[in-house]
Amino acid sequence: MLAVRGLTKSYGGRPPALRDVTLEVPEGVTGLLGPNGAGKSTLLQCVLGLLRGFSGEVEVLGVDARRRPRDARRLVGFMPEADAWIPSMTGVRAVAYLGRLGGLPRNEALRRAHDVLHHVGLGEAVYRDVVGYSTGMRQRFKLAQALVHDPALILLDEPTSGLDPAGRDEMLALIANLAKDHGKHVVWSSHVLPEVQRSAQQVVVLHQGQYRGTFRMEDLAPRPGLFLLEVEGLSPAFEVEAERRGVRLAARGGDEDSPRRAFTAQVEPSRSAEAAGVLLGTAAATGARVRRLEPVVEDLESVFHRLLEARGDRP
Amino acid sequence: MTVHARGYRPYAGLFGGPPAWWVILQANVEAVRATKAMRVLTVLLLIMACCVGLLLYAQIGLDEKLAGLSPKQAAPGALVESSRTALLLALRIYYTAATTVVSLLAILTGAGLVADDLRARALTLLMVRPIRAVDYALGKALVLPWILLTRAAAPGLVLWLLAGAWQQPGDTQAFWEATQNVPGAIGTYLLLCAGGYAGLTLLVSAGTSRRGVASALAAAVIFGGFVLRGIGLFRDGSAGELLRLTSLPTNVLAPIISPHWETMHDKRSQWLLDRLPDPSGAAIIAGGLFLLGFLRVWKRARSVEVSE
Repeated sequence: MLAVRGLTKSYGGRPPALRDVTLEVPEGVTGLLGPNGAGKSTLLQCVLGLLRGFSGEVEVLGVDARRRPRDARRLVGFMPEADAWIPSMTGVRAVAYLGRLGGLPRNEALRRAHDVLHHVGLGEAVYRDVVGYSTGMRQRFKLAQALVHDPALILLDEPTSGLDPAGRDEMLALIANLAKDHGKHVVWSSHVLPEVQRSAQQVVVLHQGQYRGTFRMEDLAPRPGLFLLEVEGLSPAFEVEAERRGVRLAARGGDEDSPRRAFTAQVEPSRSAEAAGVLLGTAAATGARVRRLEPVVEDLESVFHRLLEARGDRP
Repeated sequence: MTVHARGYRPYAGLFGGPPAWWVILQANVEAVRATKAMRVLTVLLLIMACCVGLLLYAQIGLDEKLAGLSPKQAAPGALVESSRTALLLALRIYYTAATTVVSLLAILTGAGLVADDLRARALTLLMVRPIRAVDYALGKALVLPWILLTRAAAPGLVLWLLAGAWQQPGDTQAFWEATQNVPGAIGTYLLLCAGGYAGLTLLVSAGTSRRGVASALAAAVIFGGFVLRGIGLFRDGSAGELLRLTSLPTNVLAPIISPHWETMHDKRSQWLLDRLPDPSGAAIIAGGLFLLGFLRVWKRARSVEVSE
């Protein structure tokens, strides 16, 4: 879907922003991770054909982004991190304008502008000036303008930046929907690892201008002896009984008076196989009901650090 | 348009359409037209064109009266020269007003053409489309000339045609011959005006993301030029000639003013006529400003960053 071979880019006398980067981004939702200065933005600029003076090859859906940058851009939608809008235009006019620049005929651009703004939840605000939009609405506007020309590949730069928790959930749902229901390929540059872990199928890690590896989410390994547990009808006896049976419980936040509570349950790694039986037995003995019990898997953060440490450095 | 459920749909149609610079030009002209400043200035120009038209009509009629002639009695060609002088005066008044309006337009609206895009980071949204930096620069560079063409060119030509229509039946041909340089003078005015003002606004606008600063810079160049020209009027030699070229409004008005002053034989008019900017110098300044402004915007668009 996106292939980069031997990509090197330097700015003046500074160390190269990208050093001989060779990677392939598969289809689906891919997280592009790396600390500040890792080269993520430079890579995005190369993919969009906005940078000159780099060596190597960048291929976007089979199109050479270096030799045919405009053809490559036609296939790509980009949502920048920073606040961006078109001055003195309503939402629908701005998106239609950008759609026309993407090559859509006038009427089709206007129609699609309405459609994508509706899709991202701005249906009621299409005729308002973008300057008057809230932060959340502007994030949605930026996503809409990235979608208007129906690109096959969507590049997102920190799409949840500045959003409240509910807004973040909605944005993550929109991104997941694009990949799942509309077959879009998404490359998502982010620092927020839990969000990427939740939505991406794989991550690509860059550090100090170098490619550090690709990791598939399905390969996240269970952490031995650790379980996520949700229980209803809890009594103080449950925790005492669990302790007696060799299970250490740590509450995962939430209200103590809530009828349903979540814990991280830990047993000796050697007893992982029997942990489920022990926990269910504890619940049965104390009258509690287990609503969720699953092994805790390795989180993306630890994978990320492992990939960075593979060459002896940390962010 | 058929009613359909809103939501994301794949696009199966063709890509293409007009060139990107044309789309950018259209969008920006629409945006400028919608501004309050533009509406007010357009109404002012319209009123001015009507007033100057009435003045021209009255002047031609008055000349006939002063000559003691009714239109039917006048000898062929007798009033052509006075009509020509009246037309040149009317054009001078109208284009002086138009140039003031264009100067205000450049300060109030033109200065924001690129500065507003920089403030809104619109370039990040624009340049990730399949367009070139030159499309953006060209689209922006043509906004002011386009507005000038529709607001300033047409009234001048209409005045010329009306003056011809108001001639006595036998004088029309002689009037066209006597005023055959008028369309050329209007064309030269438009070229100088378009190049000079578009270049100036692009240059100041692409240098800052604050419209107020760009407006102040544009105003400083326009009004500062007046002052420098004033100093240049009283200096001889090449220094004086150079100073007299610093006033953009006077430079662009020279093709309209000089034919009128040539018809006036008083000392003051002749003195001023001698000190009008050299046409080739004015053209070099307008062309240079346009080129500099265009290159500045092109460079800005070329160096766009996708993140901060």
